[in-house]
Amino acid sequence: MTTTDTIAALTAENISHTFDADTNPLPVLRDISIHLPQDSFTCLVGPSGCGKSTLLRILSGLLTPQSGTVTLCGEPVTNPDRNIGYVFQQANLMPWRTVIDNIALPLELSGVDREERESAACDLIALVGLEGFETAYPAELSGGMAQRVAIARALIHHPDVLLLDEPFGALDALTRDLLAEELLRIWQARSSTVFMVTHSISEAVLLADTVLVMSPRPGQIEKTFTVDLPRPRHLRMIHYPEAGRLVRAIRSAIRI
Amino acid sequence: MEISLSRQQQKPKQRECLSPRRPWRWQRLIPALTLILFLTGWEMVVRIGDYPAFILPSPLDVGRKLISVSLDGTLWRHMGVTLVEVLAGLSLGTVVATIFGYALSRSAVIDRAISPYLVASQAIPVVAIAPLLVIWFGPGLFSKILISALIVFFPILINTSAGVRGVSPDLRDLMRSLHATRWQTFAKLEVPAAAPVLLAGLKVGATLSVIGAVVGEFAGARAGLGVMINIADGQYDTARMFVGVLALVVMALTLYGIVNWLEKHLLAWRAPENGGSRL
Repeated sequence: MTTTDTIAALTAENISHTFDADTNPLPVLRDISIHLPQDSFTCLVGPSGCGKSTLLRILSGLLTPQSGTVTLCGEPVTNPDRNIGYVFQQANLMPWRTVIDNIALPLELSGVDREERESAACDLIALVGLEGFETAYPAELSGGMAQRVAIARALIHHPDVLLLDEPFGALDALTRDLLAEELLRIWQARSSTVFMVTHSISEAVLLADTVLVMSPRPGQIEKTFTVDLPRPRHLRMIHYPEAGRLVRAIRSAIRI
Repeated sequence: MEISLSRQQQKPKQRECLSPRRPWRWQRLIPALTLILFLTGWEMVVRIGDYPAFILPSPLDVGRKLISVSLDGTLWRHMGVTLVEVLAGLSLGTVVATIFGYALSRSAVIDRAISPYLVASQAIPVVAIAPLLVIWFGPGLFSKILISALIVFFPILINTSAGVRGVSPDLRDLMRSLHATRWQTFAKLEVPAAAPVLLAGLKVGATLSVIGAVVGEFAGARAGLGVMINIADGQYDTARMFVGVLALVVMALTLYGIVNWLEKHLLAWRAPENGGSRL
């Protein structure tokens, strides 16, 4: 581990990936390098189909890239790692499990006894604001509530890094704003490194320290923007002139 | 904001949705009325047409016969045999079919190797090979259990395989990202995810298993409701045949009801989507 002023929690070096290499090769990612400093919030924006989700799967260890390496706190990531929490586009809950059992699933799989995992899950239910819904089934939840459960589930292992794949993409605009602010609050409460893929530029500006812009397929990191808005952030900051300038700059950097 | 709003809506919502659909008391009597109407019509047809009892017994004849065969124990003896065949056949068929169905859906090689033959085997009418199985395995219980299992096998196999194939790839990714073992993925993801489709197959299987047992008994047996019906047929005791059929219907419906009950309790997590259906 290096002890420079910003310790990189997650690093990706020269990641390239091609789908279906033998028959009809489709290059998705080309030579991507990313450094996520400890406790930073980074957003990735880019046109549809540019390989954002593929990159996220590679960072999480779900997919092995054809070349390049991913390291978590100095250790190479080759398989899914418990220190990386993953939030999917859809809430991806098990419909036959109650809210509390969905959140506790990761602990259940690693053999933590019921009492301990339920108390951990209860803490997270409080953190994401779902008290009173412990025994509700996913079918009884709204989209925003389901996504809160998914975030809580990803946090239960106290991961060093939280990866989010367009977590608010399926939600309506109001719920989206609300959850974005919630995510900021949760991030500050749990202090972990967050890397989030999003379609919404203003959301990226509002949340992140750094916004990465990806090119169309094969995806490359085309530009890196630093967001200087003060923290703690609020929804209304999107109306600040510097935020507006940044949104415009990012929008023109995205080639569609 | 959003939370407090939905918190208020959430719990009462279910009741509000259900109450208008809940039938009035007199509506619950409608099925009974249909039955009374049907039996009255039947009785009238017999009286007006003046049919002899060996062609069409009246509902009252059938009722009297039902009482006499249950009092002298004939009905219970035959029904017991058929019940054993049905339960054993359904269990055997279900166990083998779920194992095969799971293997098919998880291994492309196994799928390629046996799927075409499994489909082809469905072209064989069970009625046609029932006598053969009786020749091979004798007129005892075992050949009936086998025939019942055979007829149950296919629908459960198809449903198991469809259920396991239908497990969401995102949930598989989730399990992988959480280091789930093979067994954990099976027990905590595949089984509950496939359960709705599997139970739908079991519902079909439950009624089919009764048909299988009777087909087997017709092909050759010493006891069972099929035998009782066969003997009654030879004696022109049509009322007794009706009693036999009635007993089979009751048996099939009871099995169906048990699976239905299981479904309702095991799948309580499902959103009430088809609450209006009576089937």
